[in-house]
This record gives sequence, C-alpha cells and structure tokens, in this order.
Amino acid sequence: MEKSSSVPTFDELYEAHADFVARLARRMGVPAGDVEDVTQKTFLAAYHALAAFEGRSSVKTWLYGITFRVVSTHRRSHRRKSPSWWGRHSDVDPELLAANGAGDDPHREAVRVQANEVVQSLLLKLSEERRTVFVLAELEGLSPAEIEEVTGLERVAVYARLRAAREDFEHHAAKFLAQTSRRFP
Amino acid sequence: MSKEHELSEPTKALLRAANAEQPEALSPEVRSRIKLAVVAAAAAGVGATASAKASPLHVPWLGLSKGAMVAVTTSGVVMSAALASWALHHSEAPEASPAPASVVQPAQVPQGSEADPPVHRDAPVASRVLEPVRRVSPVATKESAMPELLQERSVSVEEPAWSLQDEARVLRQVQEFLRDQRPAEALRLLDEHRNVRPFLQLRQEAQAQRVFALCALQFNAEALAAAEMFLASEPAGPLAERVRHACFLKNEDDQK
Repeated sequence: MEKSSSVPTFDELYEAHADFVARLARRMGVPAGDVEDVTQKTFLAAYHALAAFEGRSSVKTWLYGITFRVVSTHRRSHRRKSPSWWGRHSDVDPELLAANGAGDDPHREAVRVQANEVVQSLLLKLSEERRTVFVLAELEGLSPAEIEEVTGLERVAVYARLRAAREDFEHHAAKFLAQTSRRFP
Repeated sequence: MSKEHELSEPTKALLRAANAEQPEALSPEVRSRIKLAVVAAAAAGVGATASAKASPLHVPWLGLSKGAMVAVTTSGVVMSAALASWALHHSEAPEASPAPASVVQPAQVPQGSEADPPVHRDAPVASRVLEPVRRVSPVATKESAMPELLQERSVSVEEPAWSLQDEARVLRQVQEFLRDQRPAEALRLLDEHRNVRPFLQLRQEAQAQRVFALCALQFNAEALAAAEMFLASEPAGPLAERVRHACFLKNEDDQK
C-alpha cells in the first residue's frame, strides 16, 4: 500500500487527538492523576513512530494502538510497584478536566457528566481485558476488525471478550439503574 | 454478534449519554504542558527510535543574533561545568578571539575535528576539569582568562524570541553529539547556549543532557552534582530514570 499523502504532522496529530487520547486512557482505567502522564507517553511514542506511519489504517486507529500499548505498559509498571493500586482510583482530577458545564444546555451537560461518571465507575468493575475491548467497541465505535488491529488479539478472542464484557457491563449497569431508578434519555 | 449478547436499551442509552458531545478532556493548560513535555522529551532523546531523525517535527533554526545577551547566574558546580566546557573549547582553539557571547549554530559546530581532551582518570576531578584551562595560550588567557561566564549579562530588548523549537533544536544537536561519542562538544554546545540564552522551557532536559555529557567525560563529581541538582527538581519521570542510570546512580527500585 502506498504511503498516505494525508499523514499528519505531529502538531496536527496532537491538536486533533490530544483530548481523544486522554479520554481513551481514562476509559481504559487510567486513574485521573495519571492521564497526563499516559497522554504524554502516547504522543511521545507517536512522535517517534509518525515517520513510519504508512497510512495502512486510519490515524485514529493507529493512535488507538499506541494508546493501548502505552496504557498496558503503564498498567504493568504500576502493578509491579503497587499491585492493588490500579483501577481503585475513580477520582477526578479537576485540572485535567476542562470547564464542564459549558454549552448551551446546562441540563443536557449535567446528564452527560453524570452518565460519564456512571460509565466510568461501571467500566472499573470489568477486568482490564474486557474493559479495553468494551471501550473500543461500545464507546469508540471500532469494528471487531479494527479492535483486532489495535489490540493484536485474534478475531475470535475479540468476539469472546466483547461478549463477556457486554454481559458484565450489562449486569452492573442494570444493577445500578435498578438501584437508582435512573434512566438516561 | 448474536442478539442475545447485545446491550439492553437502558444501557445503550447510558452509553449514548456518556458519549454525547464530548467536551475537551484536557484543560488548555494541561494540553499545552503535555505538548511541551513531549517535544522536550523528544529533543532529549527519550523514547527515540531509529525513525526519530525522520520525524516530521522538524523546526527551522531561527538563528539568534550574535552578542545576544541574557542574565546568567553561575555558581558552584554549574559554574565549574561551564568552565570545563569553556576550557575544553578554548584549549582546542587557542587562536580564537575573545569569545563573544554568541550562539553556535549547528552548522558551525566542528564535525569530528575535535578530540576529547586528555584526562587523567586518577587525578582529582577538579583538576581534570580545570586542566585544559592551563593549556590556553597566553594571548587567549590574557584576553579571556576571566571568561564571560563569570559575569552577569544584561538582556537586550531587541532579541528575537527564544522559542521552544529553538531549544528543541539545540538539544537535538546535543543529543547527536552524545550519540556520536563526542561529549565534549555536547557539553560545549550546552554551555555556549546557556551562557548566551539559558534554556527556559527545556531547562530540565538541558540539565539531563549535561549529566549525560559529564558522565561520558567521566567528570564524575560534576556529573553527580548535576544529577543531584536535576533530581531535586525532577525526581520522577523518564528523564529522571535516565539520569539515575546515567553513569553511577542506581534506580531506587533496583535498590529494594
């Protein structure tokens, strides 16, 4: 395949995808206090790899893959230092978050923020493997083929994990929604 | 995927609500800070691969006017490291006129023409550092024996901005010198720039590169002091790890 003529510069890549990477890292279970570090590492890896980017996949899928690997490495590193550390933190770093509440509809924004917090807490109940596949499929909208490319998993493993992740998430979400009688539009 | 494994409608609604119109995940300050850190780390060679040279983040060398002046405060170890660098430079080029406070552009740096100075490993570090000073020719010594490094300088308001890209470019050159086993030139370039226009945005990265250069020159006491200075302000992170491992410092994790 020919190298894509639309390979972005690093500046373009960063400006277009910094928020996406930070959000993805958070959803993959990176504690709020580590999101900045993981985002930095992801873009440092992307910086060095960009010259070799051949456009075989979309920039976003390529960046998914880098983020996935950086988060995995970060997770292993912290697990060695403190095995119980990863995934316990559900704190929100106020500095990391841009001013929420912006927008024309405060109620809608409040619903979104609340839904995000609920989803984040439910994601942390999933195993890391299932969480990653679930986030990529259900929140980021990647196809099984794209998840296979990002994670390096066999297609059958992608399907198996996704099925298990959906069951897990559904279980926890149903429990939460029943307990709170909360419904989202 | 079979129907039975699909999410229920309330759960889908929850996910849709969470995904709707995502705001910026990073505040502008954090966003800028991360980008700065990435560029700095890349310039310092952190995470570099073979493709690093071909990275699209090539920035133009804007050039700084000769005689550019900035306030320089020198003391202690930093001063002696600067002296070492200055001495190394002048010992190899005694005919040089009294050094103006100019920035050496990468293209002006001699490529491979300057061997590292002879050092006696058994000699005290201080004498090794200062030894080249004694080899400076009388003329050069008379004109510039008290190097301008010792003097405070004033800031010229006409100076062009010393941008992040400028600093990154210099550090990339320093890194190339180190990679090419030319630590004396790396140290000299660092000090020449610092004396003219100190690193501001990439100060930590420049300090780390100084440690690497001093280690390579086996100026161990200087390197240790520079490393301690660096780690005091930057105890964690990829650069801190590299500094700890530079030549003699052990990672805290390794000691456990």
